[in-house]
Amino acid sequence: MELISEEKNGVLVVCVKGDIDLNSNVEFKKFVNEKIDNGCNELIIDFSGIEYIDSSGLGTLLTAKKKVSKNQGDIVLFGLSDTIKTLFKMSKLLGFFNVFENMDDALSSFQ
Amino acid sequence: MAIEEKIEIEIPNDTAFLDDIRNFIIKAASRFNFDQDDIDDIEFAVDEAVANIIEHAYQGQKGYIYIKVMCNDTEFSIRLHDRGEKFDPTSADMPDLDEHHAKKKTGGLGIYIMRKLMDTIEYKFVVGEGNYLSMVKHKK
Repeated sequence: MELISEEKNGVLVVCVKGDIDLNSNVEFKKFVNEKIDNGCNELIIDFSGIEYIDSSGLGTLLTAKKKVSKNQGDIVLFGLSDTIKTLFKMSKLLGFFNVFENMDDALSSFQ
Repeated sequence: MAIEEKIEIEIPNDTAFLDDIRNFIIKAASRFNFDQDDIDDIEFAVDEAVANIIEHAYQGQKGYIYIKVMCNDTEFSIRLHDRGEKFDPTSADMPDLDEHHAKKKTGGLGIYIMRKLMDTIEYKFVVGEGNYLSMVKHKK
């Protein structure tokens, strides 16, 4: 798994490439938590390179959302594959996270 | 069930092998022409089941997970056996996910996913042998 982040209009965009499972989630969780602990409260997760995510990865996102919400921040997602969208729908997470088709729409949600 | 193919593998109790297990499952289900939605369901369910064994049954101890797959043209059947502590993923109530997410809980989601995606899940614990979890997915 590769994790790359860049700031756009004051929002941190985290691009993930690869699978997020119980193994790689250790690194994903550490990465996201460090960004939040360092003051990032507005994050976009780019899912376009994520081939697979398990419940531990979903748990990381839920915990991260809880943290940033306390500071009036948000975490939004874009680029979900149809398979991952189906998983989010089944897990009732589509109504919980704001999900966008592309980065521009995700960025606009913070304006 | 007329068994067309039976495959048995054993893997170390280590998260580093989860990717290999998913690839093994995808390959096995693809050979029997399960459609992509079914293959995705089986992949998610098996990954969650193995992750539970690693986290809850073995609890950091070394061990092996014994996987037996039986496939035919109508169903995909998998049995996971481990020699860890007793852990029954079928015993908990299915969580109300709206309440679960509203309270921002994170536990229990994997078991929910596993039970939601497979058609049948059966668990048994045998003293001296360990946990056996059997799951079946019928072809659409």
